Amino acid sequence: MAAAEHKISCRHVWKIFGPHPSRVKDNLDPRLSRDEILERTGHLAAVKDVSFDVREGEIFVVMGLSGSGKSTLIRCLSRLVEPTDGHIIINGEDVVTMDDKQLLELRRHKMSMVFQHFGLFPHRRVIDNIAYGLEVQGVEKATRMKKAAEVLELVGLSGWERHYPRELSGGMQQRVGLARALAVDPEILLFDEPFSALDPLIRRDMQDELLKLQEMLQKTTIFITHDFLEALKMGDRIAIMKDGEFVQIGTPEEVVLHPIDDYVKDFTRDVPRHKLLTAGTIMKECQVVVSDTDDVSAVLSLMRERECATAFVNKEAGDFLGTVSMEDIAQASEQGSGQVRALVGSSPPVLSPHTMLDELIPITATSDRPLAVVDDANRLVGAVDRTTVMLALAGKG
Amino acid sequence: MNAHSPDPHVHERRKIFMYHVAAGGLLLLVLVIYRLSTENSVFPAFLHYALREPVDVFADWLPETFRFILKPISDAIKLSLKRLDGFFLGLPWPVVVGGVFLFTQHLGGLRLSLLSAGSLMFMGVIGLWDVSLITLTIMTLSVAITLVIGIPLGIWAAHSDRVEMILRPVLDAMQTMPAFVYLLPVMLLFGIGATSAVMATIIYAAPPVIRLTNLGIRQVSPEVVEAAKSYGSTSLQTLFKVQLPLARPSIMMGINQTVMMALGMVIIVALLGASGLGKEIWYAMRRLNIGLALEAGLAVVLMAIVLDRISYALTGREREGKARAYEGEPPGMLARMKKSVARIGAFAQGLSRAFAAGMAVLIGWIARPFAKKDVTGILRRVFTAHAFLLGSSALLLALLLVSRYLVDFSEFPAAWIFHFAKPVDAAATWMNINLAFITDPMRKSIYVYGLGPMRDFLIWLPWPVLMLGIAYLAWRVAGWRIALLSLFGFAFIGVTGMWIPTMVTLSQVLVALVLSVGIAVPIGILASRSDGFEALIRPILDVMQTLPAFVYFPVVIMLFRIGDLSGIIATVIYAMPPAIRLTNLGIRQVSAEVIEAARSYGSTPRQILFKVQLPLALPSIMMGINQTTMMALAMVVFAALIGAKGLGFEVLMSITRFDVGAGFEAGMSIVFLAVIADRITQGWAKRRQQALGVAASQ
Repeated sequence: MAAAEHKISCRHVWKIFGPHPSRVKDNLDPRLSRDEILERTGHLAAVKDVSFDVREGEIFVVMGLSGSGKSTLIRCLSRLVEPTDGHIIINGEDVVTMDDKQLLELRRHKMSMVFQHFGLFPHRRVIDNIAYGLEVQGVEKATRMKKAAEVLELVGLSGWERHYPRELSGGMQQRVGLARALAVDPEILLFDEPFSALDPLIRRDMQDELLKLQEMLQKTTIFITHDFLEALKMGDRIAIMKDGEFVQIGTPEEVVLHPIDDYVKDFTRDVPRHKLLTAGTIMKECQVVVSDTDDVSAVLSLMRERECATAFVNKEAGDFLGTVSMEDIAQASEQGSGQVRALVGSSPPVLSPHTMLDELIPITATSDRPLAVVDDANRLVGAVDRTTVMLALAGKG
Repeated sequence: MNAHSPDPHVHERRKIFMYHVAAGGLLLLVLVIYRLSTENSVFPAFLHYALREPVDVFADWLPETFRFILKPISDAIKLSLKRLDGFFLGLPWPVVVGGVFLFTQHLGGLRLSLLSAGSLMFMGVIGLWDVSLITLTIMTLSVAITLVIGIPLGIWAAHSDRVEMILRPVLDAMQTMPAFVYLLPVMLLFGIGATSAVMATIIYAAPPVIRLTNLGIRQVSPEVVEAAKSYGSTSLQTLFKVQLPLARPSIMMGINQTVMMALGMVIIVALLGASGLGKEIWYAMRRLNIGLALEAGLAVVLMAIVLDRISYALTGREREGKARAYEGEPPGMLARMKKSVARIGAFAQGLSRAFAAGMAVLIGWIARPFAKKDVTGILRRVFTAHAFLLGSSALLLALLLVSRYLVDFSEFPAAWIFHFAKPVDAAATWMNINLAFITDPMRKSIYVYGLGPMRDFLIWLPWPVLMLGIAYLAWRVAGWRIALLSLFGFAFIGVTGMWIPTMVTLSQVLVALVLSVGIAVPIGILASRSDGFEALIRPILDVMQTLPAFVYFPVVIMLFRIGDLSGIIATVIYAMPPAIRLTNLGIRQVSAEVIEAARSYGSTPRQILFKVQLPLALPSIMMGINQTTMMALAMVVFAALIGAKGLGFEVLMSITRFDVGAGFEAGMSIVFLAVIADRITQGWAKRRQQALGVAASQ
């Protein structure tokens, strides 16, 4: 948790709506749920004791249904909504205690936001919309127009400078919104459900394009969405928000594979798992791992003891050699002693941890044995068999 | 809610019916007892209290005490008016006409500029040049002050919910009040004269611009404002770069309404002793000089149309942009004319461009020894960008110089003046004699079957019966608060001794209301059933709604002479347009699906109208009736100008006699009538609306 590597750190952020928010906050039992707080105090706790860190260059997604407080939370970061309590540390400075001037500086240079309904200025041409951030900073006209034209090209809208926003399609309008955000060259990008007003196909294109841009720009990004699949696709890490609180924070795989409660599990039900999970995420630990110089009888007894039909054999140096079945070992041990090395066939089938689940399905379907998962250095990291795959597909992995 | 369980519904209806029966019985009982005990049904004299006396004391005390504030304000306004009058009247008339022509040409094209300059010329031709300019200056100053106060107030209200909360009921009340209500307090503070005229106009005309500035800013999408803030705009930057530009159409509409309302005050401010067109009309009417009144009235009509078009052009400029609607190729002669006009326009444009370039070169050459950079290039860019402005100013300046040193243009040429007052007067006399076969029966029948009996009945009706009856009505349709208000209002009327004038006024308003609704609703129905008819009456209604109430007076007097009846006829004409419009709109807004459903069951058009369209349009029609009622009440004092008796007459007398106390009593009586009528008719419309689940069209 060293502060230096975190671009943004939020600690115990609260936002309470009502006539006396801070008084209510001070006298509040933090264990109460949002409904209980509303019933007892008449105040709405939109954001309730939220803490999280965002690393430099990371896309951090906050996913929640409407009314979960996610839009309020993202607005607290630039104090478009004034947080009731807590600390928001950006680059080591607490946003909450900033005076008006510092806040203006923060908004002008450090972060910019993309809005759900685009938030474009209908009375300004596309180019003037994009240059707006620079304009309020007081940047000279020629400079800001040049910069605006650059980012316009970046989002693929060159030639539309002199049009008004209403003459553009929804997808194009949001490109303008994105360009406007990029024009000020911010350190942090805030997206408030940027694609939810778009048609599904356009939405997919925009997601892909944003990911491509992000690969190039490496901006620290906070991305709000109500779409779980979008969260999985966009996020390096995801926070699931419910009733003003974070229910779970983790990588997409962690969330899908280990949902913390039924609420999160409910979302994971519709996830097309075969497109998300890999051999690395679903693999099991190998029960019997032996060295190629071990004696067959020793291996056999180990396998019997652990009730395991397959043994994984490593070379003495540590890299993976292959597998042996219980039948072969039993047959060999009847004929006398010897090293297991002799029983391992040449060039056994192995899987990479990155192999997607949908590729695993045909492979495991035709193999009776568990398959070894081996990393780039040819080390054994785990095993996948037909059962593992089926359980993962069923969401029970 | 009870639609699926008929039992409580029927029960509810029965209960309401019992209420009505009980209330009716009670009122009848009061009536009988009262009739038996006394002859006199007017509010008893022993309950009278002369409220005018303390009011008069207050009226003496107030201006003396606040003289230190009032005097400087008054002086400042007087001085500005004097300067403005001096300036405009000092300008040679071709400069004024030319300036207006060029300005409006730039704003809205040739049609607007011809209309504006032509109207101005017309005012000169009928010999009202000076008077019209005086009216224009008073209006310009009033509107300018209104905007300087109103727009910032609107901005403030848009930024603070608390300010809006305080302002809204005040503005609501101000818009319900008839214009003359402001006369008395203003007269009290600033005395008789132009200052009062300006102040009264400001107060009357301010609400729309405040309201629409506030509304316009509040209607800007919150996400857009948030976007501006998120990029680090200061609140001033957000205001000027985002909120105001986006609120512009709404603010412009507010300015348009403010201008029109200010024009509506022209005759009222004449009562305060301001000179101008209003005074001409008023004096002419008092002397029964109908021709003169008509001339001045026509000048006001033209002024209204031109000002409306100009402020509309200001609003619409942005919307239409450069691409004006293509109007199709006009045939033959017209096409040739258009072409030559276009050629003249192009020539003028070229000329001003050349002039601009020339000026740039000239100034550049003169400035060359002093300037570091190349001045000519910069000037050339600036000048050609504003070639129109530069060319126009040069032209006007040239005209000014010509008039000063060569030909005297300072007075509108007397030889051009043409009065049509005399022929009009002759026509009026002729009509009075020869159209009497139409107008006399009209007058008589309205008087004998309408106004007379109605007035007699209201005066005959014992005061407790009337008071309780109205209170019961108010309670049923608008709740107990309005019932209490109406009890209090009528008690005020009785106590101040205004009972009889109030009954007289009430009878006039009711007769005018019945007539205008009786004419307007069928016209509205007709308009809703025929697109051609709607297209025909729409422009007429548009013009009628921009015109101040009093412009109908000369025509009405011409036909019906001075008296109660003329007041009623003028009221009917003035108050009809909103009822026609809202009836038409209400019927047209009935959903097409519902009508299709009715047709699919084999309804005839007549059945559709009476069983579907009219019931669904009823809330909208009721809103029209509400507006008609309010306009009829606003006419009360104007109608007194053409001889109507009642409260309006009392107010008028008190103003001419500078009797603040009496004016207060009569004026407040009208205000009470207005507020009670407004709340009752609106409550009625809203209840129907809720019952039907439809919105009334505004």
